[in-house]
Amino acid sequence: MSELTHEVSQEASTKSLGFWIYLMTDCVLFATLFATYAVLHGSTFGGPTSNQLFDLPFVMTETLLLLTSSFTIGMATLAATTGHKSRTIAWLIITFILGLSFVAMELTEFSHLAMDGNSWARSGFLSAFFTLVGTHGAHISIGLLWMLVMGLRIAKGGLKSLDVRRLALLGLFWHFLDIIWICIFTIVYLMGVQ
Amino acid sequence: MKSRTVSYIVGFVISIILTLIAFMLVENKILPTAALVVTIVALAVIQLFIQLVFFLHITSGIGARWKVTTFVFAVVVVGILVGGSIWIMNNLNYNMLQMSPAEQGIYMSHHEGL
Repeated sequence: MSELTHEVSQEASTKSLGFWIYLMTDCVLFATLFATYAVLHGSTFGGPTSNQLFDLPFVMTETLLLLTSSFTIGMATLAATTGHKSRTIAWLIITFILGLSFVAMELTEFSHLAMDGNSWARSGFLSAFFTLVGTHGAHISIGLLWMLVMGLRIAKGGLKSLDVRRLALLGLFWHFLDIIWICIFTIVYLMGVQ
Repeated sequence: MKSRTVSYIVGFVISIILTLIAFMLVENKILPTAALVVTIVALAVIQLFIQLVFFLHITSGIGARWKVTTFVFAVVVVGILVGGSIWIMNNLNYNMLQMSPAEQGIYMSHHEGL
């Protein structure tokens, strides 16, 4: 390996590690929200409890959408590393549509809850629920924006090595959010309907 | 690259199966509550590691050692945060009950303080 390429790969791995450390701090952010939720889970203030609110098959569909999108973005990063431009864009479009459907379903759930009078203002439990699930939804929305920008860049300028590296980071971010969702699905929804 | 594709497919299939098992267990209420909670948490933890290995490739590539190191550190912090919060707040609830004396008596006889 020549001096130059060694330097480039060194820089790439440093950036990748930096992004990984960001993800770990994001993990801590979600941990505080999970702790808040766990503490406030029973504080319903006379309002509905978690097993009266959640529609499990609906949330299961959301989970499958996000899980599939985590797989398809993996396919997109692989297509990018092997230099297939149109294949990369196709996988990105599929991932984008899946992610967008997830956000749309989540917003539907939120609006149904709010219209039934069960908004974040109803009880401590619902405040914690909306904060936790909403923060995850906000991350997903920012990921979608990032994906849109990446897709347009690749479509216009082609697959530069910088784009391939950025796409790999986007992939990391997306997989990470899928893992957080698995925790939300298990702790908030599956354990919530007991 | 072919091995990476295989790794994604394997991770995806295992994740789907684990999610479906957890969903079915809760929907059909086969197990008693305590056993059910332990089972679905175990399934989630397994899926977490499956995705870390097959999707995030934590154990391969350049800098894998640092990734694992920072991950373990994050897990410790998360454990202290979540475990500590639940412990402290439960203890606080126990010591600062806002209930009528009769309700307090019933609560105290059912729960032992830490």
